[in-house]
Amino acid sequence: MSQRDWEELLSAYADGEVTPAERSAVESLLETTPDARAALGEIRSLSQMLRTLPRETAPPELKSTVLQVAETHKTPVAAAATRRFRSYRREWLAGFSAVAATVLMAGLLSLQFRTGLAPQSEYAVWSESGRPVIAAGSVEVKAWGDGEPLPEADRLVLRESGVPASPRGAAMRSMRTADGSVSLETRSLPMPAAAPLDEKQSGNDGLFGLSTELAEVDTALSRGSGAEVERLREVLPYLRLQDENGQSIGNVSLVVIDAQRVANQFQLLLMKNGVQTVDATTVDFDADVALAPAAGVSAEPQKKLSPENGLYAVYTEAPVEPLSKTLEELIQQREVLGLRLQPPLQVSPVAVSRRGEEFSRNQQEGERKVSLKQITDAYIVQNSDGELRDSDEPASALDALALSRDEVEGRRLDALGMSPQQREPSTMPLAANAPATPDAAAEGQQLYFNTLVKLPAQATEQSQGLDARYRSDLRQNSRSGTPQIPSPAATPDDLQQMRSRFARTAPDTVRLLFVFQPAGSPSPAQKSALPSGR
Amino acid sequence: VNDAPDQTLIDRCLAGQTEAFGLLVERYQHRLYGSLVHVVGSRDLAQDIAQDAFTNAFEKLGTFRGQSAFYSWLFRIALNAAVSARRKTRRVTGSVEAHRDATGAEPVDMSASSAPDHAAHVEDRQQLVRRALAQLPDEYRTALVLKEMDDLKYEEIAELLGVPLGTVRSRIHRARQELRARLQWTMQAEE
Repeated sequence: MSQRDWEELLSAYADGEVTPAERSAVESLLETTPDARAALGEIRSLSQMLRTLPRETAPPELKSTVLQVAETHKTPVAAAATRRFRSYRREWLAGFSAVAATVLMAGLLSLQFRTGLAPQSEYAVWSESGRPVIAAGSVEVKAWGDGEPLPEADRLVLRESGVPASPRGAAMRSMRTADGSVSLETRSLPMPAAAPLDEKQSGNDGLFGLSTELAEVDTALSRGSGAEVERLREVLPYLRLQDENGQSIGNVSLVVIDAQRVANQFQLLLMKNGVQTVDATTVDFDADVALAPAAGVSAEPQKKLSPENGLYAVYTEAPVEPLSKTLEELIQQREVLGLRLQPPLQVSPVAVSRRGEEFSRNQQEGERKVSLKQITDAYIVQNSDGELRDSDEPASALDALALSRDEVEGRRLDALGMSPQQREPSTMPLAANAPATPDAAAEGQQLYFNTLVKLPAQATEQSQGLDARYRSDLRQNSRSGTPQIPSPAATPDDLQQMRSRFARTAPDTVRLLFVFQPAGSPSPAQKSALPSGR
Repeated sequence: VNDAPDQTLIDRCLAGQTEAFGLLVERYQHRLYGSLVHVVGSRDLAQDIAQDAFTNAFEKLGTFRGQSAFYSWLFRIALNAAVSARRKTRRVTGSVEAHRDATGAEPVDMSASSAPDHAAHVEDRQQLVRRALAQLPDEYRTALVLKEMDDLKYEEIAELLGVPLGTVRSRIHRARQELRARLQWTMQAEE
């Protein structure tokens, strides 16, 4: 080691920023070399001089000036959302009296939960009669309004719009058991790979456990938002349903005014609730995550992503509780964020496909699919031979995270006596606040995380027709109980990778891709129904 | 409320409670300003930059991911503002008068030749250190200020400056070397 290196090491040593090995080396040097001791003394003396320099305090006018400026410049979030929500509110209010369909759709929740690989399903469908029925290949739970009877005018509009009237309240009442709790009839289909679901895995315990909490939420929140919280929370237990890969991955679509803002805020809230945000910007999602072209449409080259043309989605792996809490908080901020459920929340599995492979043409026209395989695959760092897939670039967001903390993390791994190849991102507690002790690692703590995913603009264009397609799907599926066409089958390799991936995760973890759909422009009819002024 | 975590205040602010931002300003204004004075070498300039930093932070609050501490994020915004300010200042620099006219700032005297005659006194000694610090290259000075004044860890500094950890270690070491050399040179010149 050169003289300069030693001096630099001494400087770092004085700051307490050396590895255990470096510390030992420095201390050995200090014991034997008077010059080294003198140099360390000078560093400490200089440090002391700097630290004892008088600290200037901010002038009193700084705060007042900042706040004055802040008052005149609302945050982009607040300013944009307020501006847009004002417009949204006009639309909402006008729609209530003049465009009843708009209001009804805003109060509608439909959870479409189709099996991605369709080998086995556990599902129930709210039928028109309000009773849950089994429909092959799909789970569809429709919750209407907040349980109140629909006005006659709205029913008329419903009939005209072709959307089946199946008031959630009536349906839920019919499902109430003698003790007043809510149950949902579920059955396993005799599919070859079906694994029986226990109570914990099924939606039952979620709903049972939910009833009390929801009552509290409903009391605490305003009537409208409370109902939406309930609807959102009802989604989560269903996402515990398992398929042969270990677990399904849900695609939750929310229509929002400003997708980027809501996605950012959603991440912020997730993080606050203990679901770490992983910065996946180093992952080439441009290539890895893409919405499949609609059936019958040839694959077009994906457009380059940009903040202007991208959809925003947040992929999460976390237990139900923090996700549920986050959704509640998101809904509480709906007015500021410009969040709206129109068309209603949709939950469906994310399709699995091979990279670059066209999606099956058997899919329903216009059905949106996000390539889940690529998302999950991005987190599988190791191949079966234990080698990193790509030695030059981060293979995953977690790799990128690990690389960004290379020295610290490397030291920790050294302390654990682990080689980089032994790292398993899904099981290693890479969170910044994770205890960096061998014991903690040995306990196999689960890494709960979320990451922002930008989806190409093509989805934005497709999403413009989402409302219409949704209505069409809803009408078709609910009336006929037509089995959903299964997503294209994954290859054995895909399944193996996913199985391996999921096997390492905690059983109560749900994997969701929250896609924030920018709301399209109001139709001419809706525009004309708006009041002229505020 | 005053003890609320930064994230809580940020959430409140994003939810429309502007007054929560006032608490964040109150919490960090002295720390930020105090460090900026050393980084930019001017009280007036530090005040302008701190003001810009807080205002920009307020406007960009929605983009704060919480991956770093709020102060680190704020300081990074301030550094960007400082770079912009320095760029502007350099165009008109050339004389103390020009500097004052352009920024309204009273520049810190960075020349060794105008050092006070009696450096033995503590105050004079501190003045010497300030001047020597001000003469360091920007990147060295900033790293050293963040370490010594803000007591940040190398990892935090690396994240804040967007440079590798090794670079931080190297910059701090070089900053100390240069600072020591300049102080020795100044003191020898005094004698």
